[in-house]
Amino acid sequence: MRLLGNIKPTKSALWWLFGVAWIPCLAQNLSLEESSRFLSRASIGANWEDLVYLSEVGKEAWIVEQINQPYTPIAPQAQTIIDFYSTEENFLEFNGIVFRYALWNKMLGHDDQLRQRVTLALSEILVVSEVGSELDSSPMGLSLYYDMLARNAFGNYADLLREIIYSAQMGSYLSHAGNQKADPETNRFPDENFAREIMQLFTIGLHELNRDGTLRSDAFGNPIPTYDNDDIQEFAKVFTGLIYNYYELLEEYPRLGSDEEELFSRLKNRGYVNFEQPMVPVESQHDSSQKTLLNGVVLPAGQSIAQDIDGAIQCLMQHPNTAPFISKQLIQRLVTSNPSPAYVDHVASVFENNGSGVRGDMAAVVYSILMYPEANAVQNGPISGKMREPFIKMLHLLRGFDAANHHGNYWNSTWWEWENFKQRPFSSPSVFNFFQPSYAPQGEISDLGFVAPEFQIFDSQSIPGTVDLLLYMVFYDIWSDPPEGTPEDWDPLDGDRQKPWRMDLKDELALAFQGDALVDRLSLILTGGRLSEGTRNIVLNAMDRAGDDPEYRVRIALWTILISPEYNIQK
Amino acid sequence: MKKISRRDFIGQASCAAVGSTAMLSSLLNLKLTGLLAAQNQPSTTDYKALVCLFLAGGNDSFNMVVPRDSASYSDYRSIRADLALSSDQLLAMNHSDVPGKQYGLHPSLTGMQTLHNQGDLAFVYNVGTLLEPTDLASIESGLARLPLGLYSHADQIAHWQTSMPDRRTAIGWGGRMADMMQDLNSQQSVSMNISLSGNNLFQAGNQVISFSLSPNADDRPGIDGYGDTEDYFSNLKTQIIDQLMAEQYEHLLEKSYAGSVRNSIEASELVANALDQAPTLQTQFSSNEVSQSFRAVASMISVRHILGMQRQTFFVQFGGWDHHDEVLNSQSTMFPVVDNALREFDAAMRELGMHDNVTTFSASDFGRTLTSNGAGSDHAWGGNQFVMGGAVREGVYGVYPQLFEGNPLDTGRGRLIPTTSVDEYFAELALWFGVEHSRLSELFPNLSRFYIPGAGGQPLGFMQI
Repeated sequence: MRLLGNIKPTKSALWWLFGVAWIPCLAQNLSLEESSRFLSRASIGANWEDLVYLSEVGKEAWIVEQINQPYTPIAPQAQTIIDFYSTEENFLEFNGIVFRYALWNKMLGHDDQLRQRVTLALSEILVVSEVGSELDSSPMGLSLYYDMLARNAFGNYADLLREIIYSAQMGSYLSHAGNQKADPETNRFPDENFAREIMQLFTIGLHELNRDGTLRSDAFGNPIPTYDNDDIQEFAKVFTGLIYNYYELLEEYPRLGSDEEELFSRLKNRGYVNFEQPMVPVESQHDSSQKTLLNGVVLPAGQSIAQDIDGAIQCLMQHPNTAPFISKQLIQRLVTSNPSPAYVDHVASVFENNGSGVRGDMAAVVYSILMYPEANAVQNGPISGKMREPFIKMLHLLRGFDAANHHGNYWNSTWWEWENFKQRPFSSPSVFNFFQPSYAPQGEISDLGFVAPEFQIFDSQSIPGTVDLLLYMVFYDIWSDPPEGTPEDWDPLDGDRQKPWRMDLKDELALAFQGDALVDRLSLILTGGRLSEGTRNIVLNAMDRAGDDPEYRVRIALWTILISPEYNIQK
Repeated sequence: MKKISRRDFIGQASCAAVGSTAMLSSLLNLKLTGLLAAQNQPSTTDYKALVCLFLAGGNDSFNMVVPRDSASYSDYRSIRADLALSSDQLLAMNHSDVPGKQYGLHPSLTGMQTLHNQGDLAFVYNVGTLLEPTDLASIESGLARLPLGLYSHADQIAHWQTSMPDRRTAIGWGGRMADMMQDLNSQQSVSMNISLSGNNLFQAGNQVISFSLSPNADDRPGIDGYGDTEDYFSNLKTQIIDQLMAEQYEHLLEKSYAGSVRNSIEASELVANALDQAPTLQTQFSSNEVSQSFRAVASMISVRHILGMQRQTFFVQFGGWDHHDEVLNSQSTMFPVVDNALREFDAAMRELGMHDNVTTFSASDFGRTLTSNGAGSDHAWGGNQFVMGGAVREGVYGVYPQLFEGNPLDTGRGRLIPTTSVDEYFAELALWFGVEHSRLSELFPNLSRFYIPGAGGQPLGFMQI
């Protein structure tokens, strides 16, 4: 499975590692336990070989190697699937799952683990969703959006924002595609949707923050809003004049282009959506008046759309909130729900300046998140770590135990996962993600002022759903028997394409009758060796009661650990 | 996997109590035994349920109820421009807030028109989040105390669900109310608050945690085969789960995980057992998720006595109302979903003899701008809501605002200052539900700026109390 080996950390990639104020302790012979714990934060599911490899090369080299891996996009894979299916009569019925097929192929088939983990995290911050949107009928739209996030995962956050502003996917999802300048005669005003959310969710948040992520307060101890509705109206003017790329359409119907305003509203209102290319500017529909943004930033009248957008990005990137706001959420997605202020401050400082004066360098930010001592120390505190996201648990199981099939297509509609976990990538119920960064389950966690966002989707439906689905995956190999014939013979709608995957448990089966050794191995891969004595005994007892069938003994041990509290809380 | 019937379940549970099961199962058996005893008692007579239908995204409710008399319609027409419904489409309503003014419903709302005109569905006009009575002058002078995060989804959803727009809290008013009243229910392991749409702020209390139920009739609550002692594997599985979750965990997140699993299993088993005995309803529900959620609510209400419930709240969320674009087309496909679900639920409640005992009310993030952004409308503030049930007093409540641009409530673009606070709207419902006057201020800390509890009269008068 390893694609790595010949790629070595380069000097140019390492320079910024030493540019930051804090110099990491370079670990020699990392223990397998620590490798496993590190990979629970940095990967989408590590197997035994991954642990061994990391323990040999060390964290720094591993991160650099991951960052340097060239990116293989998923859009071509989606296109292959579309081409393959396009002859089917009922193509439209399963159009929406093509993206998920392509994504699964990526998640199970590629070893750019860190990039994928960061991309999933970004997909929960810069949210678009196929639920309740035009994206549900556009597998290419979703694939290209995923690729856009992934390409920029180690790039600059400002570039990511720019691509999002121009992306047809976000333009559709938050309705700034076709947003026109005000027209006093018809009482029309620019759409404020995207203007609000780019501030509230993608950059600065609702309240002024210290760099360590804590709230600033006014003289009366109240939080200070970062913007008001007047600010939103100013930003709304910036995002006017973008429309789906219609150039090809124009070649076919040249007369469409004779009146830009008419063309603009036609494209907006007639359901013409082009998700395959970024949106294009139409200057005549842009509000080119002067705009007063935040913190004294003024965009002069008469600027082009591109100039205004660059000015707005600059304004938001320079805002003191963006560094802690984004840094803290990335820490929450990768490492811990409740980072200390010092941890947030350190990462935010790297966001502000990667050591050579660059702001928003995501590679440096990710590196600092993963290498900060608080992330790596053995955590015995009562609130360290985070709940694993349901979807990451599933990937962990499949990748951790080498799920594979004979044809190499890891296609999965994820219908069951959606139903049982209440989570699958790009299917959030709204732009507010599956859970919010501030969610605190009732009881002790909330009373003590801590948060645990993932608990928001852990309820009396998804709890049984998760226990059931994990059991099904472990015991019945969801993907049990390969169907008859070749892939071309299968009915794509019966789900068989997804099924023929099997976990490779041969190393575990060899230990089926050495309970302690098996539990050691599973605990190492899944929990970084953190299984409590009590849980260990429950697993051993379960194996005893499972009888003489080695498969049964191994699988019950695996499932028991998967539903244990020690596994479900990553720390 | 094998689905177990209730009969099997009780049989096994009794066996299990004798055998060597883990602590949790034994605990559950005790509860079930108690429950069986409770079933033999006469069913509760003083039953009440509140059903919240949350139209998430911000319903453009000035196209739900529209002025029909020519003067008001002309204001409506000119400010809404391309978003205006034509006056001859509107469904006539036979109640008005002001003599001489006439109102009509969106053409899709035929069921609601019937219910309204026969007195079973009332409208409450221009409701919104407020800290104190607020006017344009106080806003412009900067003296008004305003809700946090006006016009933002996340904040306004939170304020509607907590009724505390001046703070951020993880506790909703339905949760606080359940904290006060949960003792009325003889079964404490199943929450008073049932959600058909997952975790939500409205139903989160300090003690009470909502129970999440699937709208899908085929989903039996709980873990497959849990508690089945006849099947060797199910039995083993049950015991593994019980043992793992009964361990002591010092880490807060691990402890919370184990506690969540334990509570969810216990409540799921009780609810599943009760729903297995639910009578088959004659009323047919549409297949969409909203109607199916109301079907599940009706089903839960039909087994209220088995679960020992005297008070319940239900939460149903219907999302997708954030119509920055295509508001007319979208509403004409989404209003019929609401309309059908309400009509079906009303019929089911009559069938169960619960028409007077169950009140359904709407809520939504905010109203939307009266002006258009070009086929859509943006986030605003006050909006119109409806309340349905046999205990509703017929009519319309609150004051329908004037709609001309620059009217005294217009903060710009037709964002209207609410004239009825969410506190008044909810306090009326809470009083009907059985909250005492003396505790209303505890439930709604800002209420006394709008209504003096105990001073006589009702906050708005739309409930027969």
